[in-house]
Amino acid sequence: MAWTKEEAAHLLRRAGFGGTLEDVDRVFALGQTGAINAIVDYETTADTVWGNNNPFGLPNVLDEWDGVRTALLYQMLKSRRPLQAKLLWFWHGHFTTPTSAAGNLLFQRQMNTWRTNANGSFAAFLSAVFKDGAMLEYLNGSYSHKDHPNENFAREVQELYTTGTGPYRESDVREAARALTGWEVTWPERNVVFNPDSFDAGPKTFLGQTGNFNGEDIMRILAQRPETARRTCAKLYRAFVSERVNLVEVNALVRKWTETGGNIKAVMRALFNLPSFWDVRSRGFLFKTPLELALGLMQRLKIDMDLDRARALGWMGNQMGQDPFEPPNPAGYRTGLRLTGASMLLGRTQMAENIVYNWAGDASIAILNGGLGSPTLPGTLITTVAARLGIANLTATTRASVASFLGTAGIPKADLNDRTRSVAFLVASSPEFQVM
Amino acid sequence: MTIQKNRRRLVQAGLGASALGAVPGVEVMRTAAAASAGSGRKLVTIHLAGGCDTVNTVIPYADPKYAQVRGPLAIPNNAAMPKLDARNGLHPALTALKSLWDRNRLAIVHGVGYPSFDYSHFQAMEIYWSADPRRATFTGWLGRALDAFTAGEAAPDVLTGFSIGWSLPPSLLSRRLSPPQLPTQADWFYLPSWGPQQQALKNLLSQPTTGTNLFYDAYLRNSQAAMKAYDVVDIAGDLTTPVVYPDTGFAQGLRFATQLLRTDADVRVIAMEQGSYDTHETQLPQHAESLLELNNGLRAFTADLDAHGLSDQVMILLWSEFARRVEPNASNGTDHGAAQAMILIGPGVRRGVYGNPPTFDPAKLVDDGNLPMQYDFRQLYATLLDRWLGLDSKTILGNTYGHLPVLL
Repeated sequence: MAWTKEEAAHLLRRAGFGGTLEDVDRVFALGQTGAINAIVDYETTADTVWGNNNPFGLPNVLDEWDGVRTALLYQMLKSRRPLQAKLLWFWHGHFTTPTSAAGNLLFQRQMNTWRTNANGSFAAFLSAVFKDGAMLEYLNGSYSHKDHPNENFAREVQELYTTGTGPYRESDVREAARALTGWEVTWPERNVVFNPDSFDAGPKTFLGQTGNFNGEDIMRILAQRPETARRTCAKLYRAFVSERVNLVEVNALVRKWTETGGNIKAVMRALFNLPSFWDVRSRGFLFKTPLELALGLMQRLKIDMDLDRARALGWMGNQMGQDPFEPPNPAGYRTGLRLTGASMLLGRTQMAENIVYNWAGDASIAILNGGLGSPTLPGTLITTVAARLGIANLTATTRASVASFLGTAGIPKADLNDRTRSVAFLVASSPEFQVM
Repeated sequence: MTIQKNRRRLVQAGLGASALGAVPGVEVMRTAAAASAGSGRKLVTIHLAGGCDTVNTVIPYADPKYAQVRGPLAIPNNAAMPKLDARNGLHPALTALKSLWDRNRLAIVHGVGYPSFDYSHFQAMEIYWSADPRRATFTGWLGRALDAFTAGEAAPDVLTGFSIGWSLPPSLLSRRLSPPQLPTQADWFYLPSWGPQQQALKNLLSQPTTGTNLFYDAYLRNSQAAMKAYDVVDIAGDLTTPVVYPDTGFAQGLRFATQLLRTDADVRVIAMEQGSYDTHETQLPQHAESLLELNNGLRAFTADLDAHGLSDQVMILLWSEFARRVEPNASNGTDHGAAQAMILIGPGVRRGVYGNPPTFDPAKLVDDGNLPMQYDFRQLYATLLDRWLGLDSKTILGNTYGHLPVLL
């Protein structure tokens, strides 16, 4: 495979939200291996955006119901570390908690913890997850008592966060619930403390092992299970490579996982080096999530995030089936076909219209039509705008639909920006723009 | 720079005056044979999301073990609890359901389940959605009903089914069509832009599917379903009613359901979701709140159907992915359970409580403290498919299941 700007753009769409045309040039100049390493080893890139928890200058971020989530949307748009933003979003969808279930303070702390662990050891991450305050609140771990342990987290940590269904039986859920007792989130400090009086210190039998297990033990056992490696690697594959899973390549990721004791960064580096990641035939089998769609357009058109826009992304995202930082249930966000409800799809075309007509100023439009001659041939405009939005090949019908609207006459300078907006709106509403 | 939203309003005049029956102006594509199936009857399914504690919904109040075992979670047996008979009471929030009972419009089936329970929300939902405990079927049981309804149609009418809610429930997954999905009649169900630019958008959304990329094709198919639906949605949204609905998303969804059923679009199946029943913690207030929302929504819905002469055509099914554990946990909640009570509402039911109330006898409980199955859920599905919707349950469920005597 030749290393072209199209490949660099593909890497940025998958490992981040797409970036600007200049980002594509910069990544392209690094060569394929250099580009992958620069993206994966993101600590080497300076980035102050994550330290800015109050980008819109609110009197008190934690007092606003959406203060934390709007700040997170700002940070994800602006981070110079595309993979860190994308992994934060991935892990938030995996070890998931809705902001509203945890409250702003606990949720903000959780996002800091998730971001710090996003490319480290999975076992260390899991150990942080089970005693995270927001998670303890959401899945009822807080104040679970040895007398009648609460099974909610004990079940979901196995079914959704680690092994998946298969290895465990109902008795394993109950035994894990006993081992996970004793944790409390204090009020009003919201600190996580361990209370030995409510912990069940007796022996438990969990997944075939017996011992006086506590929560750390349960997490260690789960992190070491082969099903956890397989399931997490397959999920990463489906999020970053393709919904059509190539088992041979998932096995390669599992081998890397096993070799490195579950090092996420090593697995991601292996993932971006998989043949199918680069194979043009496997492109287009990821359905862009609403956030990928919106942040992708905003990055490409260099549209800044302000409070109104961050809030609009909330309700528009909800309309498209993905309320940001409010996942519908412990399994996380809908993906793929579950995002194709009729009103969700109309929401996509409305969002495209809103971004192109209401948020994109003339400078943004110049990104799409800069350098074109005058008058501009309609066919040239369509090709140029689509390419700059990241679509190398429109279908014949999409192209013909846009072309019949533009007509055949050359477009004079005075009309070029209007026509450019039309083309951008239509391309962003096309089926080819919904996949990547 | 803003764009004026130019919603299409095809039928403006006279709609408010059409208080009864169907509203003209919508193309109907149903074939004569399919139209006669079930005499145009409709099924509205409401998923009580999260696993509803049906022991505290249809309450075995006369069993002394109920209060003992449920302890702090027991609903007091007093005047506030509506009584159905000598053994079964309702949660005090369910006053509208009591009045439906008094009018012979309520049937309750205890102990609905399937062999070998799954205690995962997601697996259990898949089982009830697909009607396949092996989870080997991609389509949903309602989706297969839609396939049967539209079997004779070259271009299946997407409006045969409708998902009112924030998601597209897999129960509606069909081989032949993609039913539209919308939370409530909402001002934002429209295709943006206008004039030639909107036409260009319609043209590109109307392109043929690829047959190779399922996402690409789902985007096209479901956008096309939306374009077919939005005239009807627009017309439906303009229909007024004297019935006052509560200001909850669920109730507004029910309001939209009645509006849809009042158009002459031939909607047969509507799937909805309600509540937040995953009560692992401090169950009493959360369960009561969800049941109250359910009750108040259904009160308005059934009154609205009555007001428009539609009640005889509509059957409502309340179901959950599971009921909950018989014994409470340490957080004053209950963990995931097994067999549940399902509820049918409508003039078409044979009023009654079918099956035995929940047992508290440890010897009779299954899987270490859970309610046993008395009826296979596919018996209830088959009864509704054959006897209510006029379809053939064997082709839809893949097997023959004995009917339950829950319908007139």
